[in-house]
Amino acid sequence: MRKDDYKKHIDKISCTEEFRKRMEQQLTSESGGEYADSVSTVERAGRINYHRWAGIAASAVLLAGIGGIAVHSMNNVPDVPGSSLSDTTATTEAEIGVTTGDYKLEVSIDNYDFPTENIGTIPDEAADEIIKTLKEAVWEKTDTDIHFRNNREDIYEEYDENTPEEELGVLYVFNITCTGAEEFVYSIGFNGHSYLFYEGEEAYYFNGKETYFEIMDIVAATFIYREPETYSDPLSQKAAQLFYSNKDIIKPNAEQSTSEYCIYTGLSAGPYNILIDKTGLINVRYEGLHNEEKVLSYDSSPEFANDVAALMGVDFESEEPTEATTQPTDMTINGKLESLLDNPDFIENGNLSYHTGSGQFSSSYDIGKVGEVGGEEFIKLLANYEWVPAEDLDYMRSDFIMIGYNYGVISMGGASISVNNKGELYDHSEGVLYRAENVNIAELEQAYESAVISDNYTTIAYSLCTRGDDFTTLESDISIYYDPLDETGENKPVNCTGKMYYKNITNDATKDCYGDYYYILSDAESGYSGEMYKQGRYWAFIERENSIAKGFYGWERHFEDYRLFSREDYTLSGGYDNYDAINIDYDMLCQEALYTLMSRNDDYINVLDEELIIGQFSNSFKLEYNHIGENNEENIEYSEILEFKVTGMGELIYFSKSRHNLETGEITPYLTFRMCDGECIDMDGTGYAPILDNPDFAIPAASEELAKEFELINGT
Amino acid sequence: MDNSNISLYAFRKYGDMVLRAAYACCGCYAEAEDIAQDVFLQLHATPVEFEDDEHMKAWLLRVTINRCKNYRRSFRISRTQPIDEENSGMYSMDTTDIEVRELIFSLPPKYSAVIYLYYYEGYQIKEIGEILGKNPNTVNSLLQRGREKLRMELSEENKPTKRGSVRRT
Repeated sequence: MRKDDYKKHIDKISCTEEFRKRMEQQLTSESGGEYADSVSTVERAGRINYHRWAGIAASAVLLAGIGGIAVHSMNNVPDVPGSSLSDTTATTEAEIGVTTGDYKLEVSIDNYDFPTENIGTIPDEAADEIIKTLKEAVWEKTDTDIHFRNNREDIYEEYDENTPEEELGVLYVFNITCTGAEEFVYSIGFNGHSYLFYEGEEAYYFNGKETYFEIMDIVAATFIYREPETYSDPLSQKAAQLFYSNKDIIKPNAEQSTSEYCIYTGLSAGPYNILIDKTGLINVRYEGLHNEEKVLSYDSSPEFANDVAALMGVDFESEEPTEATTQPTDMTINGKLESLLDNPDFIENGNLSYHTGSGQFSSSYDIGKVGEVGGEEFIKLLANYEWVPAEDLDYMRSDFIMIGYNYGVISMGGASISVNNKGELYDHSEGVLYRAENVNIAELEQAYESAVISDNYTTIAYSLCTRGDDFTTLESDISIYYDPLDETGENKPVNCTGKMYYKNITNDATKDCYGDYYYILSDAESGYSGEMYKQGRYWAFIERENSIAKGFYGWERHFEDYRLFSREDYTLSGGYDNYDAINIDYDMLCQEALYTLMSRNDDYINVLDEELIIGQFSNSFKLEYNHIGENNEENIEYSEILEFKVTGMGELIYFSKSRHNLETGEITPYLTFRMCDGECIDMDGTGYAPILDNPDFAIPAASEELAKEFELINGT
Repeated sequence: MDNSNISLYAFRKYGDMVLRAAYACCGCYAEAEDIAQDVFLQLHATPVEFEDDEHMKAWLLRVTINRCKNYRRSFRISRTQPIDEENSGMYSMDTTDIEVRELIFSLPPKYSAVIYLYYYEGYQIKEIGEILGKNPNTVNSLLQRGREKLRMELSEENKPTKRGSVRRT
């Protein structure tokens, strides 16, 4: 997206005449309506009563369609030893800077399983009680950086995969938004201890459990749910009204039962899908923090179930069960694998899918039905191992193949089991990771590949997932659409199909593993062709004239014109992104680099007839940047150079990974420069030339022989 | 100035701005209208004293952005993509508009808010921090990540490109 496009688009947004008239009318009327404060008497709630709170919170899940505290977790609250907080500083009472009566409190209850906002309000008297409770509590200030995180994406961004779960943040966050002269938020979280965070001060305070639950009790006793009439969507209103009017009969299911006969109602709130069976058993299904399946269960009544079914147009009699098999919950993972093999329905209807990425950038690819793509052999191989529950983190942290049922939402049910490229197994229904001794990754990979019929890029994707060493012979048909500019400056969309090869490159020194993709594209109609290179995280596409190219892959190659595209790939694992015009962006530096490299110089063109040798350095040295031109920018540094090229003319061309402006934080990829007599020579005419700070870096003599030697060394 | 005058004045002066800010955070015109309505009605119900118009503007932006964060996670029966706003007659959209809107819609509000404040309203990092009540480093980080997620080309100027021409046979 270009900045101009963004601005022009936003410029188009303005109030319609109808909206203006409506607002003018409302803003000249007396204050009131739904924004008027509501008043009710409040009794200070008694001491903690888990069951009472659980009942009310359970209704909250369904009444607003968004969650209260995750009920099933309440009884498993971890007891964090006080010694874990021994690094606190001097005791101080947190200053609760609120004047009673000068605020309106909106309550939202978050945890990373059940993010929710604005599920209702509490009356002023209750708000006063809460503020009083906060003030009376003794808070100790702590330097421990406790992170209040509202959703999974926040956690993924802030922490790496090795961060233990208990450090990921507070389990429950209770937000009180005060709107008065200023709007500010108190967040009170609980993770064995209460934590108070006041936005803006960025200080953390803690005390024992009591304060948190005292506040929760007050809210539970006085909470006013959002009125169904405030929902703008008519169906939402009706559904909210239905749940609201039945709030007294919706109660958490003691055993947290799940049932295959619960059918999808079509009701959902964000990621939470509401299922119900004809007895009134409700299952709310959602994905947990680590993509594991989670379910909350509630009881209601057959009459309520019928009302829901009538509202949403579902028929209990005609709907298929959501789970083809009901597996005893005490079955071992090996037992589950065996039972899958014994289940003809699963063999026929179960499927395999490949999952990559995480958060909002995750992708899934359907591989095919278990029976059709040889999944049985794959599962048999898995079943041969003795899988043991892992003691550490219990979810998959890399791309994986999922075996299960897919109803177009998420694969779920007892049959959903995944295996990743590390040879780990994950049972989605239990949320447990398993490992086995001496898992033969190559054997697993072979078993899968020999069975998979698919000839599209899912095969490649899985291979990448399993990090095969060399798949130069593994090819796939691909199709790429992109939108280059022609000589007139107009976009001329082009569809290209071609072949793709994959080769894995491992840096022996660092053991870093890079995948290189090489495409040969052709457009039979226009004779348009090009090649795409992926090195590390960057793509280069060299567009060539005509449809043939010679060289390493046996294609004749003629060209006169060229164009360099680049884009930054944000995933290093296997899997693919959509290649379309939007995803192929121009990188100005790369254009200049290509122009410099392949300027309209016959010698260069001849050079490109030769093989381009591609090698890689990794972490070999770090460059300091020093602008030698007029504008002296001192706060620029380059990260380690990752790749270089040696041309047939004997020049060593370096591509740095990124250019990082330390002041603005801006990062731009690529800078091309040439080494000459120990100095870096600016190649793109900007006047910038990096300075090496690694005295041990030896500039190799550029020659064809050396170029071949680099190919053999392959990155060292 | 009584309550209605403040809110009316604010709406007449900053109504479009609030709507744009809401839209820039949520990527949906209908939601943006709801949010804008909420913001001004809130001001109408709970009057605020402002030092000057800039103070009012900053307050409106903060409240709008806070509401956007809450609104995206409110109750929905089914989460659907924004309706085709061309059909709603809001404004004429071309292909680029559709693409931009989808990108905005896909971006979490915390990123889209700083993107909007920085690139559209022209606030500096520190000013954005003051508006949103965040540390400037946090704002910088959000801005960077927002750009990465959008893969936005946000260079100040476009250098002339040097491209080869494509000849088709």
